[in-house]
Amino acid sequence: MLRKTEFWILTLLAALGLLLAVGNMVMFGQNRQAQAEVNSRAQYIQQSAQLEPLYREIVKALADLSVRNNDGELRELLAKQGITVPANPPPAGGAPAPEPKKGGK
Amino acid sequence: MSTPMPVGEAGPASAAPFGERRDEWRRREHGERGYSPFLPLLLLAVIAVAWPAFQCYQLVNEKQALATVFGNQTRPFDDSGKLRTSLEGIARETALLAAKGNPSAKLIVDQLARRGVTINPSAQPSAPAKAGN
Repeated sequence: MLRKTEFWILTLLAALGLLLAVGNMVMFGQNRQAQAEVNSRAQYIQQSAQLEPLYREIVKALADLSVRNNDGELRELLAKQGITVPANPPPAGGAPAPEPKKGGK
Repeated sequence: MSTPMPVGEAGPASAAPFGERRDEWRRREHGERGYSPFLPLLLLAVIAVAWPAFQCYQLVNEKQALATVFGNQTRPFDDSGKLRTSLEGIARETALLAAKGNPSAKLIVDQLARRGVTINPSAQPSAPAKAGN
């Protein structure tokens, strides 16, 4: 037979073990969810990084064409995205079209 | 010298099975008491606490590491969202201009189509898939 103190020591330890086990279960689930979210965000960032060159090319092409054709609609489109392109084309034989400046972002 | 084992004693003890009587006699003979279950139970209880405690420690560490990674992702994630919004916006506007007949926009849309990029002007902005859904 157990003495009273022994009984309570064992009961306390068992209760502590139970609490830890339940806490571990909860934390394991939370960590799994957090891991999935981190993975999802990492994938999103990686995919977006692959889109950046495309975005740059489109903006550059739009800016070049707007300057070359003096296209007000394209300039307005770029302005809506916060990209300002000089209104006047550079003089013939001069420096190439300036790089579009992105502002307001 | 050990006393001979009493066999066939009369009285209430004789009602107990022979094996139990023999064990009790032996205990009395050697002055032994029964073993306390406290020590093995204590060992079991300590193991039952120590192992989940170790797991808990590991899980807390893992949680902190994940929180750090999540925090480090915040800025690139926001930047990616902005980039996607800008790209989708500019592509949609370009496609709309091309549909209206702007030759420069048409040229860009054609170039993109040649590279396998098709623009859907009515598409909704994309968002990252939520975890666990």
